[in-house]
Amino acid sequence: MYSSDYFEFFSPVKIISGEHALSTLNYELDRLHVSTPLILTNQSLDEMKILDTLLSHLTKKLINPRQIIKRIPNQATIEIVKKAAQRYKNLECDGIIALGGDGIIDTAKGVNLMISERVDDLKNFAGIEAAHADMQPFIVIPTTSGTGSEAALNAVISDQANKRDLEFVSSKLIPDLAVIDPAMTFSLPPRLTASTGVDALVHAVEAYTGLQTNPLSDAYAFAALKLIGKNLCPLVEDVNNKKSRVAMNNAAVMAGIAFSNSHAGIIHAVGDACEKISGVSHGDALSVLLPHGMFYNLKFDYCKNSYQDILLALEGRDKFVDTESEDRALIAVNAVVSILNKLRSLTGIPVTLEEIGVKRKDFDAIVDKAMHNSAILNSAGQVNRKDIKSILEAAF
Amino acid sequence: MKSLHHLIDKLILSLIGRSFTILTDTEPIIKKELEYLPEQFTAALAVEKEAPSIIVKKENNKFKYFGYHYQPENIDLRLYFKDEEFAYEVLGAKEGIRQAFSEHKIVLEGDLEYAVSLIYIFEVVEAYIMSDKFSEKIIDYKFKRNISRLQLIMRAVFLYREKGEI
Repeated sequence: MYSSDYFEFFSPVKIISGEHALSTLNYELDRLHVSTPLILTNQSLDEMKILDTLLSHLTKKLINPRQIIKRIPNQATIEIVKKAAQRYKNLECDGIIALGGDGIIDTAKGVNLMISERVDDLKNFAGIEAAHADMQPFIVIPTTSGTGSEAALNAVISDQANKRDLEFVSSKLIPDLAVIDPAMTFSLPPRLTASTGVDALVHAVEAYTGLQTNPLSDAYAFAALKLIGKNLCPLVEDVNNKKSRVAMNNAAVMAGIAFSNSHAGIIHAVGDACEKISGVSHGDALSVLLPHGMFYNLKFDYCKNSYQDILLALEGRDKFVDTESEDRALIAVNAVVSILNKLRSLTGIPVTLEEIGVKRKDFDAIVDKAMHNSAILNSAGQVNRKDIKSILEAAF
Repeated sequence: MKSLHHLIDKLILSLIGRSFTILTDTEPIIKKELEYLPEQFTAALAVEKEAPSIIVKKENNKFKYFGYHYQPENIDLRLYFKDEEFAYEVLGAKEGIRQAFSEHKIVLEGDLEYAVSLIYIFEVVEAYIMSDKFSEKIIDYKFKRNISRLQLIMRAVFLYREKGEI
């Protein structure tokens, strides 16, 4: 297997995190020269008064109700991107605010691409680094901690007419500003807090073990893992714990930066395939697949070395020192399994694919889909169909 | 040195494009990946953004080779390197295309799922063309050539290049 000392690392997003982070919004909008932002969000965030919280921090801007689009679906689609881009043009907006989770942030990324590239068809920009224009000011206020989308360079937008998901990977898609205020994520229930926390855990673990692991993304992944090890379970036990909530929000954004630069790997590829073929939830699929993907990676020496660091990050110095060096990788996997078991006892997160609704008859289609996910190219070793099938069997 | 690298890049890329066509009949991995691509799927591969691209197109479940084209139209997927020296690392058998992909050295315009198929095919074709040592490095599984390197190169030299519209 190759090892290389070449890497690229890019993370231009300004991150404002912590209590009262939203209070800086007026200042930041002025800094970015935004006077008429288009706000993308959804109905439930409006009903939960999260949109009101945002608007209460935009008092210095005159927000016309038409500048707020509240019907952004959970999955970004070409149609909704086109409609939102049209609204942006009609109202002569000069910046975008995405308030919400993955679907809303991906939609906003699509709108930014369409407006900045001055096109009506996004398809020509699918792929890796296919965008070249100067982008519009773009602010993300995440309401779920886990996806890391607020710092990530990718977006998935569904082309429903052709029944395909278009994948956009470009440094141009990275927002200018991510405002991570715990007030926007307090309302997450324990089950969702657990699931999004596992999402961040997977990002950090995979960033550490991919072919493009590098010192900078390792630093982010390691710091994220430390926070996750300390805060995920306590937060699920008490979802109103402000300190743990802020820590997990920070972990999610750091894991997002890490995997944006080092890519995801086999766990993500198989998880995405389960989601697409069997229609299961992304978070549930990752929770189930995480330990099995880690066990698979134990056969590669460089993954074993990386897993030693994961043990240090999750369990601390004493446990690390007390464990024989040749056992550390396996104990790191056990540490992850312990976190998952604890989350299961607290919230009932699933442990088998069967439990979440994946059918054995779908395995061939899942294998095919996973083999064509670009994350698989970045996974340790050369993943083949048998490897994926064995992970699916073990997780079933 | 740069002009030598340029010449090597050009020759090897052309050999790889031609080998796509030849190996379709003999190599099961290529056959399998070809099935994943839609009919009439057309791909352009270049050493850098402004360089001419070799064009391959799927027709009747086979690859057709269209040679080098400047600014080709009707392309479903375009793959090129950020710099010609990065292309040389791959085409000069110093680094596998998978590694170059993970290191962000490649730009892809088009559907990423199809790009992954193309990368698998590229990898196998490179393994056929390059030395056994390099093949072992870029392909983890036990790789066996179904035709010899010499046979492949001879057939590639005499391969019919499709003319006219892509």
